Amino acid sequence: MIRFLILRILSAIPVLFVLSVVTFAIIQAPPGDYSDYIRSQLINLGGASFEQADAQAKAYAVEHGLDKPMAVQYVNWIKGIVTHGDFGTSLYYNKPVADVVAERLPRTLLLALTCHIFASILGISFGIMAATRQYSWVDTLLSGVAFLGMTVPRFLMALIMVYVLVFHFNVSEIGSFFSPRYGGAPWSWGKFVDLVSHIWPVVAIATFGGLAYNMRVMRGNLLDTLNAQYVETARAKGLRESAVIMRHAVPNALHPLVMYQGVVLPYMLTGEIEVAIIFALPTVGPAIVGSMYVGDVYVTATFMLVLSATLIVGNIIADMLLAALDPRVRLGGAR
Amino acid sequence: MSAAALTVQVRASDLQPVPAAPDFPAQTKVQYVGINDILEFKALPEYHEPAWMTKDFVDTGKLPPVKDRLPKEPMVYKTGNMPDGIGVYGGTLRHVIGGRPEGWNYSAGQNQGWGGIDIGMYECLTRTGPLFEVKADELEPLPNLAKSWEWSSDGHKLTMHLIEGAKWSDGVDFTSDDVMFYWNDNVLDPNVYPLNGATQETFGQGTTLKAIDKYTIEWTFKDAFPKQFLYNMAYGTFCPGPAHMLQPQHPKYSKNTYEQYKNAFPPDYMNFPVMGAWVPVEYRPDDIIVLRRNPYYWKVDEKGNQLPYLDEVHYKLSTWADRDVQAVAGSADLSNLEQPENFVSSLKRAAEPNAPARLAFGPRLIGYNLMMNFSGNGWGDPDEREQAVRELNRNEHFRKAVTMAMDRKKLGEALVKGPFVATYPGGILSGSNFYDRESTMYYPFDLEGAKKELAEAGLKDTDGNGIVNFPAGTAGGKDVEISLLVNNTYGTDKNLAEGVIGQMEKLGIRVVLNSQDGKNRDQANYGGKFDWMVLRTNAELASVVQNTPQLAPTGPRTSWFHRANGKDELDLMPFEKQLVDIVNKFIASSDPEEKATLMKEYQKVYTTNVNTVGLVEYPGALIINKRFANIPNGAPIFMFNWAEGAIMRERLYVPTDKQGGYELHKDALPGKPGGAGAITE
Repeated sequence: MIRFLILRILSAIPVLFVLSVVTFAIIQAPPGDYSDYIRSQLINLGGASFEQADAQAKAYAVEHGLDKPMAVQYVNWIKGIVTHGDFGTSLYYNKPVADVVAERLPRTLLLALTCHIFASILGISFGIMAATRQYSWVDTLLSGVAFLGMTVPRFLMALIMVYVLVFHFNVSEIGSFFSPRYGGAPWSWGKFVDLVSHIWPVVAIATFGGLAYNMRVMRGNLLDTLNAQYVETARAKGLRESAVIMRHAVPNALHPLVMYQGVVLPYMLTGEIEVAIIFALPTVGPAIVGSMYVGDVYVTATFMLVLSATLIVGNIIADMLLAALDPRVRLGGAR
Repeated sequence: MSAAALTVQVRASDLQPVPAAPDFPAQTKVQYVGINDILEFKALPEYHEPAWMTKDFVDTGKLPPVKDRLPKEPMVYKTGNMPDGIGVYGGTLRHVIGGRPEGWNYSAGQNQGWGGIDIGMYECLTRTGPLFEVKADELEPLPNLAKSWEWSSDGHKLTMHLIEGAKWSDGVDFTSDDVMFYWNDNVLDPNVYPLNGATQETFGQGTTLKAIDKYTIEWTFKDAFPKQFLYNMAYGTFCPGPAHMLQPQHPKYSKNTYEQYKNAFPPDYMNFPVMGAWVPVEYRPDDIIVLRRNPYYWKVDEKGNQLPYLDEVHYKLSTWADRDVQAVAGSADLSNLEQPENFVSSLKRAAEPNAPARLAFGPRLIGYNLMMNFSGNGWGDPDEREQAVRELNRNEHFRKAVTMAMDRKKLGEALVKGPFVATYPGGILSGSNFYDRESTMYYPFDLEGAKKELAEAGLKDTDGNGIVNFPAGTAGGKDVEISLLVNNTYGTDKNLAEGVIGQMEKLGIRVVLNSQDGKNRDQANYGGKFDWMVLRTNAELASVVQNTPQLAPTGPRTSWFHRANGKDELDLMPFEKQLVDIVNKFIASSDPEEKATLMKEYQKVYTTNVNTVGLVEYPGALIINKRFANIPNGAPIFMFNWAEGAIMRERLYVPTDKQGGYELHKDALPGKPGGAGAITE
């Protein structure tokens, strides 16, 4: 098992390298760079003339190496990472990219983990309820909820939520994690309540969207499992139906969801991009989209690298969990 | 009278002045005044400050008495110009922005996140924001750090008197040293780019500046009486930084690199000294910037109350889209509503009795133009089709056809129903001090007349598919297809572009959308790679006196749609030469009446010749929390400066009973530069 783990990690390194090259190239593919953004800001927000703004933008490009060939920029970036863990400087934030990541990643993980836990618990529970009451009104209702969750775009849910809360329920303090009073204060019960009152719409939307997949997968698998031979055997032994379901059928039906945990990790990291943007939460997703838009290339490239790494880590974790859960895999691995 | 003459006289599409625009709900009208009605510099018999400042800071010896913190003759805001009169101290002004601060070193090119942070922190020699309410015949920049000035008799020297005895927020004197440091070591130093790109040329080729004494500076210009440059001594090109802080960091005076100089004061450096009303005392990344009142602020009201009335200012670091939402929701106090698509729903919300915010629409100062690429000189390396389109763009009949085929009423209704959007034939916007409706000529909507003009331009539908063709021998005689560059980040831009496409199809021209995001759109525009583009008006069509050279192709790159080729060759049409001539005369003139006359001529030449095809114009609206008093009527969201500068935030106040509990650092003042932030005693 350890050997398996080491091999997986070693094979990940060239994958990350290739991904970093591809990512860097793709990000740079559209014409223009951050200096174009600066020029636009100076003209539109600062009232500068074109000539003034253009001169300043060109100077910025030279100062920050944006005028160099892409390959040179890439090599400089990779060299910084490998030699002293320097992921470059964010052009937009004017500070190390590592700082931007360090600020946004933890709260993204916590928020996403919360949403994911809710979505998993509710999704699996609903799936069990629906499967054990197939074709009843409960099944129909829950399947309808799942259908909506999977098909309604989250940004649409977010926009509707903002509109309804602000324009119809007169909610202020919508969006962001905290009100100004609590943002810099030490943790307290009041701060926690403030946090919940700010992020509940995001959690609600993400949970609603996320539970749908879990529910449908759980329902489908459980139905299959409930009709399997070994479940009939368990019933024949005289076990209670709840024991049959929870002890025999559910663990087997969970396999695809366990696999799903691995691939969901990078998705968690993007922090529900669309919803976070609309609710203006400073998480990873808006940072990626925002940095791509303005041409803050090192932020985008670094976050893509982080996502790639988490995807690989997620898959490894999923394989480990699957081995722990499924005796066939565990016994086979031992051999 | 012959039938032909009668026909000519009654033709609906003949050139005529643009119709008057309707009034609209929530509009507040500007009350035009003279400069001296707004402010003056004079000593008053007594001065006052918030009571807690006296008790906790003056009585304890931490601050000198208020009269000693003020200049000899502070700037006095006139009560008569304050819509709600003398204010009371206290309260918080909460903004939301989408920008992020790079650092506090404005002089070295760092932005502070936009949204008016820099306008609130840094003061400039002159001021332009409040000029929206100054009568056209008195229009001149307001005095500010330069409290008065006089010209030499030959007009080549301008002597400016700085406000004497004013201090930076850390108590250090403001003097000509600060001005000269900005000029010599930031503007003139080729390695430094002050924010918004001030260079020597910003103030005139060959212009020099020297200090006569601590409070007197002297400009020397090559031209006589170049009063235009007074506008450039305002935000954002002559706002000196604190020399006592910046100079020790500058490479000329230290071992720092220029990059280190620029980054010497990152956003988490607190209490950076300013001449503005508020000082940064707290910064949390991606969360908030908090500013507290400047105890040395050099402006007062007529009763001697030291300004600002507001103790605290917040800048929540969010997104630009969130700015409007938060202002409507009541979590923020100020925003600019610029998308007409949102006017109706925002007005409905604001009309509710319990709504926290109101809308205050200003003059119509936002417009959209269809700009045609006039460069037949090779700018952007056009292929055969592109070159053919440019020749068409340069054809007067073709331009008339396009403008006559534009049903502007339909375009406006597509954005928002109601009286907000007005017909805009192009040129100076109707909200400008220099606007003259009688000079603004307009070809009314007339599709049949437009098709005739198209035929006059040599375009016929030779293959019968509904789209006119280029003449044989031009671009292969193919259908006329024109690419339309538009910014896909803004809904209004795209809506108008799609409207243009639909209307041009009726005329018989196929327009293909080229929708790009911000920096890609810019690359295409400034690289000359567009046939047409839909673009929002820039500042010069609103203020006229700022970036004036950009009103016409006065230089190789001053026009947005007609630029020089690689050899700096411009190929101006006769009417464009007229526009250039008028603009140059306007810049050279120091006579307000002559300036006004010149702009009438400019507008007539512009609109008669369809320099651009104007599409729509509409007002922006301030979204302002109802707590606030002293918001001037008719304040535009952008004209000479952003609303944050126009409304004179230092005069805003919140009545005591409405102040609420938004302060984060109550009864606190900025500490020492680089110190912990706000201190309470």
